[in-house]
Amino acid sequence: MKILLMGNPNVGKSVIFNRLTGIRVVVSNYPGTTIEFLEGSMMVDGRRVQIIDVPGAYSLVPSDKAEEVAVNILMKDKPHLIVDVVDATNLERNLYLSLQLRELPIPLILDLNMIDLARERGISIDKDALARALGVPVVSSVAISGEGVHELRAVIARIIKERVGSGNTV
Amino acid sequence: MEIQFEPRIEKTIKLIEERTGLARWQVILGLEGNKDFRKKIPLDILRESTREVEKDHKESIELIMLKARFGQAGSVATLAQQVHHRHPTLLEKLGDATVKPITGIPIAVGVLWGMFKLFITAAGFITDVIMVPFFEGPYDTFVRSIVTRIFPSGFVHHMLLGAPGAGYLESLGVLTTGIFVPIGIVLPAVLVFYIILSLLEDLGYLPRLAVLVDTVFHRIGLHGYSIVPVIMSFGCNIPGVMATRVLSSHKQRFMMLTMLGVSIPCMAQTAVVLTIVGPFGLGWVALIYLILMSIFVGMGALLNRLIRGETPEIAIEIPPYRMPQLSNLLMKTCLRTGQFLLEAIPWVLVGIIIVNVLYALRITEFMSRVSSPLLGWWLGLPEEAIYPLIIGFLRKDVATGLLAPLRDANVMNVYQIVTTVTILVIYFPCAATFAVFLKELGIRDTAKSTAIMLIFAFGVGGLLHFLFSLFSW
Repeated sequence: MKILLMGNPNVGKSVIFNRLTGIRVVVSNYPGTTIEFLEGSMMVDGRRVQIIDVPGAYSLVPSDKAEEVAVNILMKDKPHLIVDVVDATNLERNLYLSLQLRELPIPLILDLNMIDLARERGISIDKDALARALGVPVVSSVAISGEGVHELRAVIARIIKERVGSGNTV
Repeated sequence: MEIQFEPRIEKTIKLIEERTGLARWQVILGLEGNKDFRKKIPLDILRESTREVEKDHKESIELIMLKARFGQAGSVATLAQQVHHRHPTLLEKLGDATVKPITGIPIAVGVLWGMFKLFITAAGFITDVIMVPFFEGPYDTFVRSIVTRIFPSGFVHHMLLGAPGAGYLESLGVLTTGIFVPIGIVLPAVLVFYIILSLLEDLGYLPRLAVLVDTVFHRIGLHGYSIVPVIMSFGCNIPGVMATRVLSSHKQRFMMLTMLGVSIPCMAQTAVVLTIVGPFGLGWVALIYLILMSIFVGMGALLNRLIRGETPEIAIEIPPYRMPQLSNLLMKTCLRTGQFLLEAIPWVLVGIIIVNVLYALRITEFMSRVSSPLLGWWLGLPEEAIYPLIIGFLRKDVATGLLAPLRDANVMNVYQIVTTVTILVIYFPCAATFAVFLKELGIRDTAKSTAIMLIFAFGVGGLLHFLFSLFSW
C-alpha cells in the first residue's frame, strides 16, 4: 500500500507527513523546501502503509525540476491513494492541481490545510459542497497544531479498507 | 455537479480516446502539454483532432486547456467558498512594507546586518566561553591519559595527539585538531547560523528578500529566488545546491551552482577566514569578502553572456508571515546540525590522517619541492603553503589546522596568509560538495565548473600577489 502526499508548494505537506509518520523533516515557510521526495510509513488498521512526501507542484505539466520529481513519482510509483493537501487560504489556485488529480484512476482525498488562517481571513469553505462538486472526500486540518489530522487518518483508513474489500489489494 | 470541458474540447478528447485507445485522463494530460503523454498521441491524430477547436479559440490546445482548467477551478471555488471583507492585519501590513523597495531595502539591510552581528557575537561566545575552556581543560586531560595508556609513544601516539606542546588549533592530531576545529570552532557557527536561518525561513522572510533583489539578480542572469540557495550556502553549500532545483533552466542551475561553489563561503570556509585572517584585523577579513562579492557579480555577468540558454521567468509565491514555532525551529536546527556533523567529522578525520601519513612518508616534502617554483613565482608563497592548498580541497577545517602554525611561526606573512585563504575560500567547500555537483550536473558540467573554479582561484591568487608586491615585499 502506498499513499502520496501531493499539493502546491508551501501548503504544509511536510508537516502533514511529520504528523502521519512521526518522521521529522525540514519544514519552512517558503515554496520549494522539499525538493527530493521522502518516504515514511504509518499503521492503518494493523497494516503498514507507505507514505511519500512529494515535492510541491502547481500542475501535472512540470515546469521545474521539483515538479518533474513530483510527476515522475506519481506516474512511476502507481500509488493506491493520493492525499491532495490544499492551502485553504488559496482555494481557487490550489484547485487547479486537484482537478487534474481527480481525473486520474487513483482514489483522492482533499485536505483543506491551514483552515485556521482561512477562518481568520474571513474565508469560509463548505466542505460538503466541495466534496460533491469534486466527487472526492474532503477533510480540513491545521497541520502545525495537529487539528484534523485524526479525521484525515480515519478517511485514509476507510478508503484503504474499501480498496482491500473490493479486492484491489496492493 | 459534473465537471466537464466545453463541448468542442470534449469532442476532441473523445475523438483522440477512440482513435488511440488511451484513457481519458491520459489524453487530457497530453493535451495539457505533459510531454510523456503527448508522445503517446500520434502527431497526425493530434493535429486532426485539435484543428477545429484551435481554430475556434484562435489559440493553441495547451492554452485552451489551461484556461478551461482555470475556469473549472474558478467555478468550483465560487460554489464552495465565501469570502468576507476584513481589514488587513498588522502582519500583512508588515508584509507589504518589507516588499516595497522604499521601506523594504532599509529593512533588509537592517535585518541582514543585525543577523550578522548576532551570528558573530553568539558563535564567538560559544567558542571562547564554552568550547575552548572545555577542550583545553577536562577534554585534554581525559584524552591524553587514555591515549598515553594505550599508545605510550610512537607514530599512532603522535597522530592521535599531534605535535607535542602545540595548541589545539595547530597540533594536527586526530583527537586534538581533528575534533576541536569541527566541534569547537565550526559547530558553534553552524548552530547559530541554522537557528537564524530557520527563524527567517519560518517567518517567511526569504521570498520577500527574493522580490527585493530580483532586479539586481536579473542583470546577472539569475532570478531573485536565487537568494534562497545563496543564503543557505553560507551555512553549507550542499543544501544550497539542492535548493537550486526550483530554478527551471539548465543554464541557471549551472551558473548558480558554480557561483555558489566559488563565491559563497560555507561555515567551514568562514571559520578559516575568521580564525586565520581575523587576528590581522577586520579590514583583511572585509577584503576577502569584498573579493568574493566581486567574483559573484563578475562571474554572473560573464557566465550569463557566455553560456547559451534561457533565463526564463519563474513565478514564486510569497507566503504570508507566520509566527515561527519554537518546536519546529529546534527540530530543524537539530536535523541540520546533525547532518553537518555527519558530513564534516569523518572527512576531517580522514584529512588529518592523510596529512600525518604524507608527512611520515615524506611525500609532502616531495610535493612542495615540485610545486614550489609555481607557488613562489605565481603566488609568492613559501613551499609549506602547498599542504593547506592541497588538503584544503578535502576539508577547509584541516587547512585551518595547517595554516595556523605557519602563521604563528612567521613562516608566512599577512599578505601570503591572505592570498592562501582567499584561494581556499574560492575552492569548492569540500569533497562532499564536489560529490553533490557530480550528482546534480553530471561529469561534463562538473568538470567545466571545476575548471572555472580553478581559473578564478589561481587567477585571483596571482592578482593578489601582484598587487601586494606593488605595495611592499
